[in-house]
Amino acid sequence: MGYPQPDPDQYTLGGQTFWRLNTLLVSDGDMYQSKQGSGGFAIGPDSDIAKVNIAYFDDQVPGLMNQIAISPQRPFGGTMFARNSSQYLPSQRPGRFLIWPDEIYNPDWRPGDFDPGNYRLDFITPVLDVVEYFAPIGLNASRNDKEYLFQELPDNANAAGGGAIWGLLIPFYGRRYASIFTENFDTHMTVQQHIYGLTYCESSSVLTGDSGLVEVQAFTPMAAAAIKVIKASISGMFDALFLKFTYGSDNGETGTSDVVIRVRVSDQEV
Amino acid sequence: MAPAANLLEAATKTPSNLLPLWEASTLQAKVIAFWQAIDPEFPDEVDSNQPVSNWIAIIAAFAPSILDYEQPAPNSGVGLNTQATFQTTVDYIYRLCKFAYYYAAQGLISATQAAAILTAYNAQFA
Repeated sequence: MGYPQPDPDQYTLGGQTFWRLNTLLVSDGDMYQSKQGSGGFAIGPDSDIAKVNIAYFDDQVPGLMNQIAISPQRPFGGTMFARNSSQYLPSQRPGRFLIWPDEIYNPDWRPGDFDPGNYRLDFITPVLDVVEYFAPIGLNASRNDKEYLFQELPDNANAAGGGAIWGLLIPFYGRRYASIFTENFDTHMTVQQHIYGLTYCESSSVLTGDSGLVEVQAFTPMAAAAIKVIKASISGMFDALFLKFTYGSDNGETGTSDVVIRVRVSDQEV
Repeated sequence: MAPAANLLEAATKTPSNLLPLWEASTLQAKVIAFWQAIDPEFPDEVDSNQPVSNWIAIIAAFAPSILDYEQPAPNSGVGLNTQATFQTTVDYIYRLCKFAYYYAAQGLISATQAAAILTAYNAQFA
């Protein structure tokens, strides 16, 4: 969590017409707030989180707290007051906007075959990007496409014997399209690539098993590149893409392996 | 139901720990007792308490709407929104525990405050 969080008060004092909460998520329990009245909320352009909840003061509901969720498809426009001098009931906590991700993220998840001695796991931490506007404006909450480029597989001391694994988790919340380009430039080593779609849940961390398997492909040394396209209309929607690379024997060579991976994710099916 | 050794474990055990309470129609009372137990530990005047304070406000506002397991009549085979209020309860308790675990790890709340949440969790839910 980025704490202390960026302060909306400073944005208004500076005369800006918006406040942007743009932070890496630490956990799915992260909680943020704004004490400034709003002209609308929208998902920010760089958000990996696709759905965000906002609680606000409402005289006409039990507990005086109402909620609205925003997404890239549904920003919220309309004047709302933070009501700092009022109190939510029954907790008697002061009025303000309460902001938290609706998605689940679990960096403690490990694959079923995880072996710390033979397995490296890297999470791309999801970005939470929310914009609060201080004046009514036309809202366009589309998210940018994101692209990730990896030009070497991480070195692994066990790679010489074959069977070492690198796992890479890329946020995919609400995304509908991914293009995964892989090319093995290594002169000796075969690399097998598995692509899984993961859906986190609160208890066992992830809906696991091969049901999430999208693709398996082996890349032999100096082989031609391959592109795998994932579309939500065909494969379903996931919280994360899990790319798993199993290293073959490198004939005694050490050092990193020349495998290029380029992943582009988008909200739009191309 | 099983006691949790830390708040991360508490979070992941929340679905299984709260299920029997929901089925016994005691979940609402337990959730109210839970937030009331941790409430004094997080005075809102201290800025670093406010994220936890916000979770308390959300859970407290929601708790009265938690429905009993049987809706609208025992064995009617009809569950009117009770599954939804159960899942929302699980979600809020899970997220508070996850938040407090990582927030405490950064030293933004004290070990005593984190322990108070875990103690209340185990007292009411485990």
